[in-house]
Amino acid sequence: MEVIREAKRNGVFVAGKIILMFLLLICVFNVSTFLKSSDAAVEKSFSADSEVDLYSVVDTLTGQDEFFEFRQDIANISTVAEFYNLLNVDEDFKFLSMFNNPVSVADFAGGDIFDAYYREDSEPKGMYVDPISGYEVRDVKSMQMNQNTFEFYNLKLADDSEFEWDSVAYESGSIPVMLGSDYQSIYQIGETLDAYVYSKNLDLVVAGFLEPDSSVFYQGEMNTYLDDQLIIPYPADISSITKHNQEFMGILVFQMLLGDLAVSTESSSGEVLQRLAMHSSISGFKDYSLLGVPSYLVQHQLMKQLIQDNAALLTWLGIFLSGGVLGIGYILSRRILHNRMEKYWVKWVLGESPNAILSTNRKYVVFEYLILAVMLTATVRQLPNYSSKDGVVILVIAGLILAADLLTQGRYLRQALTKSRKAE
Amino acid sequence: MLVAFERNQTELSLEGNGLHSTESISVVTENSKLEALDQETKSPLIYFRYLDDSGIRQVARSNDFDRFHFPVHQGRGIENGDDKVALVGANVLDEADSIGSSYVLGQESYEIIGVLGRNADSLLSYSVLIVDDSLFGRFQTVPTFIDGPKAAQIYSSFRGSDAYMQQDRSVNRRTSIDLIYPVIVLLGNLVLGAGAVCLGILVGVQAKKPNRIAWLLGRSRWKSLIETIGVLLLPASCFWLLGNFVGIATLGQELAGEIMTTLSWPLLAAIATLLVYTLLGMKRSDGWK
Repeated sequence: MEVIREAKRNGVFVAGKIILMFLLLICVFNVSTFLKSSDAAVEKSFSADSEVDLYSVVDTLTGQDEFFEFRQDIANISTVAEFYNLLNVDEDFKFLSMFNNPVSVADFAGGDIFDAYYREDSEPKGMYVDPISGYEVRDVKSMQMNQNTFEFYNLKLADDSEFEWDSVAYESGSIPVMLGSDYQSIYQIGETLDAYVYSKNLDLVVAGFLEPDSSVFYQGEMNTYLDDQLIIPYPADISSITKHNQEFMGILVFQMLLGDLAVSTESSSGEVLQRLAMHSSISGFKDYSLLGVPSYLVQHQLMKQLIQDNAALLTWLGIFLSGGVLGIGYILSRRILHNRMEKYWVKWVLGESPNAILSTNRKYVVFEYLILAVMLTATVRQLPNYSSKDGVVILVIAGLILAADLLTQGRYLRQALTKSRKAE
Repeated sequence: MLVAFERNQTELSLEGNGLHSTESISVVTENSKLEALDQETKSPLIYFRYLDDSGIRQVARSNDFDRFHFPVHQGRGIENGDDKVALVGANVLDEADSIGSSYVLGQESYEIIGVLGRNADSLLSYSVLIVDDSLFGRFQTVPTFIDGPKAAQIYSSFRGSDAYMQQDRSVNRRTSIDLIYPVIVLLGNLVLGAGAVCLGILVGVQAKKPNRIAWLLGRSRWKSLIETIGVLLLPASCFWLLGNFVGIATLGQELAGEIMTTLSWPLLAAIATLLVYTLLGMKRSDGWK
């Protein structure tokens, strides 16, 4: 009977208070998970380690005939290979070798979004019969990179496993590869893609999938996302160039030479050139050039700022919303207590102790927050970026609000009862 | 606050994605089809075409420029009726240039009406956005980026639609802002609404007893009702006026419409709640006399 009377009298206010608190805590949860994702984004792509000057390395054998002639001599190709090997292990800078070159994959299981020609300005080419192999293939988007590049851009496999760079050996005809996260439902780890790279047949064994939204700085664009890319790793060093693999390696070494040098901002371009001249002298390869990439650092700083501004904006909105809701919640709490006061007066007059009255009130308040806790537990799991730790934190915050609510209501109730004693 | 948040969020998003929203799609299509799309839909749409491969110089056309707010830290944005005007990044402006000077492209010159970016140092500091229908028409063979609320849905239901592409290459993709943002805006509005309803009920509770006594003493229901609404309306109207004044003074005249809407609907919700609550209370006490 008392419960029905309580529901009639305070039901609307209690429901309103619970809904408001629920909305507030969901809001706090969302803001905090967003802040975590912002921090993770800054940590991943805009950390202090990545605040470097970039210089692009390019070869100067631009003429078709010149390039062809150069590759006819194994000794020439070996100089490029040696130059690459020296750049790759230099500790004064990081050589980030990366190139996007479509790869033909036989009986490709994916759709148009992976097609190398699926761009704003061109239609996907689709499956076609390769005139050399005779297989039905599709040219898919592919990014080739060395280990330095992978590590510099903080790329990681989605299952947290380590990619085995040491096992990359092109001579074996089979290499492990990584796939962008869009490939998750198309291929499985361990599956083999039958591919053609510079007319060489390679078995690409899927070693893992990149984390979603993995990105690199490529050709002046910081937001080069790799979700729809096939990632082919470069070997740690190039050796054993023979007559047998001269055609393939001749093209591959030049491709591997295309990349950026990540240099500390304290080093000058003169120092970088000196270092390259030293490697050139040792390897014998002289047909290279160095270009500054100032856009990298500019984009790096501005994008970091943009993410941080976004986080600050959302934090302020969260603070203002919380302030508003807590204010309304306080008024509602006071109203509910006010409505219960008549009942408490009667209990007081009938001789019930203040502690017993406070205990009765506490039961009502705890019940309200229990409903809130159930609603929160059922909802936060469905929200983006949910983690059980965040779920517990939000329940702890609800507990703190409950404690504050109990404290203010208890003080008000005790004061009201004490006043009435004085009045008697 | 919500209006400022939404506007800032839009600007941050556009700045991080070369002035396109994450709803943007790209298609290679003819001018006549875009004109037909404009006639078929009432939704605001904006079309962009890049003038070269640099990815920073674009020409735009829209059926409602007033609905698209680009991040501009000096001068103004594009408005309906604007033609042969340009928004440029701070680094495009020569030292001698300022708002009102011209950006020259080939034989044509465009009045610079605003400087792109939330600050001079921004991802848009080298960007150029031109409004010129004839120039737009001449770039028919390059991809057109169609942007606006539900652009993909609107375009795919258009009878003359071609195959289109939607690729998000924005900075937003690095964080979960695109997931969180609508939830936060929804929550903000729900809190506003819930607050308004609570306010209406609280005023109703305060007035319930006096109204019942007045009814027993023979006072007209209408008088009581008007007086009760007046109790809420008077301070709430002052708050509404003050809110609009402060909002417009801080956020600018161009947001006046949005600020007024954001402040008006909770006021109406509070009045409606009070009205319903009071009428229900009156109905219960109908038989008391």
